[in-house]
Amino acid sequence: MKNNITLDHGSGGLLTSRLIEQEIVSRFQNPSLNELKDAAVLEHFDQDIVFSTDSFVVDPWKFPGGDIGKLAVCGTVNDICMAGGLPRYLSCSLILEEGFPVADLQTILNSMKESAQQADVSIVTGDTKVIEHQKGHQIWINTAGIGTKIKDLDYKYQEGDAVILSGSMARHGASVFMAREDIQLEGNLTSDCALLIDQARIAFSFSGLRILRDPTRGGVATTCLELIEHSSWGMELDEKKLPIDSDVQTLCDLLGFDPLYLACEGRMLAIIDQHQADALCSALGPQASIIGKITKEHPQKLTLKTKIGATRMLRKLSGQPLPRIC
Amino acid sequence: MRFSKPKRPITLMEICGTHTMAIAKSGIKNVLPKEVKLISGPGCPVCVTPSSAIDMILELSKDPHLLICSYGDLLRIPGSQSETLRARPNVRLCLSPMDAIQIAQNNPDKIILFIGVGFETTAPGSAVLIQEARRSQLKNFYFYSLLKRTQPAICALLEKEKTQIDGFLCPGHVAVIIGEKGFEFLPCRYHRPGVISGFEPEDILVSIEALIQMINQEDPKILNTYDRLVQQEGNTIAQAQIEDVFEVEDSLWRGLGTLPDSGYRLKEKYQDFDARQHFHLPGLENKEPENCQCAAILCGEKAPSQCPLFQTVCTPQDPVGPCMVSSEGACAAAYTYEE
Repeated sequence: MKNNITLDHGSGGLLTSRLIEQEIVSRFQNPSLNELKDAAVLEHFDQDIVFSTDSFVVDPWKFPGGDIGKLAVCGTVNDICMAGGLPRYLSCSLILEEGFPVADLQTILNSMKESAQQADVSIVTGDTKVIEHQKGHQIWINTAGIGTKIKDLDYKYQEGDAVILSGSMARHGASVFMAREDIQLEGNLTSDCALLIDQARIAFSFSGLRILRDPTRGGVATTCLELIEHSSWGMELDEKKLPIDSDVQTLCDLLGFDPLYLACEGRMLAIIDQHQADALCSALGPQASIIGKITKEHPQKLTLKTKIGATRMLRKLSGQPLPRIC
Repeated sequence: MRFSKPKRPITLMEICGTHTMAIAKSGIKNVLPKEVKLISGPGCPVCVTPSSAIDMILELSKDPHLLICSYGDLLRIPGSQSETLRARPNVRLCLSPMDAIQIAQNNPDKIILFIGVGFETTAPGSAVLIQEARRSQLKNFYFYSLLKRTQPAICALLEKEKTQIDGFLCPGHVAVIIGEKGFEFLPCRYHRPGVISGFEPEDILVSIEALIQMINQEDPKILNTYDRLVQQEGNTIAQAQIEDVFEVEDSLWRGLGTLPDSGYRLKEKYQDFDARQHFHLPGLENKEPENCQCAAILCGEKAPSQCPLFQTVCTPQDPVGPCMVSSEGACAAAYTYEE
């Protein structure tokens, strides 16, 4: 194998075959993939199917706590879980920039393999394309996933339903920003990038569970707004109860970012009957907390009860956050 | 906490963009006595930068040999033709002015232009940058100063005929540099109280209460509730750095016009790094987008909601005026955090 990806790796010829056999099939080993057909043939499902896709363009591809490979598996697996499914199969499409080091690709594929094994999903089909140098950005990945539906989830809220977040917020957004801008701060700020299968399974066992979401782009505030904007309900978050790690808070204070709008990649937001909220929190572990509630007042609006007891509106993220001057 | 009851309706101005943001984020306006009105002043560095400065930088950025460095907020301000710097490939975002030294050393074939914006808070960092550029004998580095001083702007506001500002929440970060003494002109010359405040909601609440009490008692003074960082004399080392590198000059402010002695330019001994001389940059013109009310908003004469463009044409996604561009601008704060 050459040291860097060349246009020949995407030509469909000899180098393409070698890349697929040596780097992909040998790693992801499973009967459907090994057949190397144009499409994977999957066993018949008894249950409804949950189907999702996501593209990953994170820059830089490697960040503290993960890389684009881990993200590409976790992202799609988590989307399936949040829709009430348990993931079974993934596809993996790679778009590589000419000149991308093969060693880096191997690192990324190893991360995908590790996360797929943890999630007990098979990567059964895929594609590889190479684009000319400087017409892409190192590596982009698309994954699609198929799962089987375990739980019916719907926007059928009731007044007082609790909003639960499974862990501290904004770690992924903060750590990727640190890596992207090469911020020379010491510390141990890592992404929260992780699979949410275990948390979802726990949540599925609660009869009062209304809905699940993972607060990725736009952060907790944007996700909460999406959860109510088409309903006839409002939501109130309690600033005192928002779980933010001190390293993330410090970085946000320094740069002028609002952690409510920074992405998580391994956190679950659950809306659940208030009477089952404490039990779900306990089952999810000490990191989980009740951060807000569904309200009859101010339908389709999200408010924040601030630490001084005032109330203000929360809107969707607008524009990219840029660090402030002073 | 309970506030003292104001004896009359009072208007307080916060001068710092970080205060504007902290007030909006914590919902402080919703817990104040109804007699107290808070307005935002010209304390967001991006907001007071004239659009002609951005036009000039945009024009310069067409030169592919130039690498333009500045802070994040500045890169989003549109010039008069709605272009922004961020869209240009040869613009680099800096979190610290010292980043520019590294960029200059790593790109010896490029000309580095650092755009210095901000008030007394960022001026010392800029001064150290220029001193370091000299120590490193950089030959490919220039500094364009848009730095401003707070006092002349506050004086200009207070000398306007229709000004109704009863007291000031003084900017904590600026005060770290210039000290309590830097605000004593408020009671001495204008008979207005000021409280130097930190940025936690509690700091601001306590400071507002102190302002209400001083106004009720008609006893204007400068109080310092941010004494964990701000001293009477300020940071004399930082003041010396500014003094070494910069001298005051008349400067154009968006909304306030040209104010005497309100800006910093490089002293002659550092003129090798002065972008104005190297690029033969002309003076700035006072022209602003049509219908944009940023000028009146910066003077506290209008609220963001009184601008016809607010939330309709002008939004954080597609800002027209600087008060919407900067995350610390009064319009961005009102859009993001208020109903």
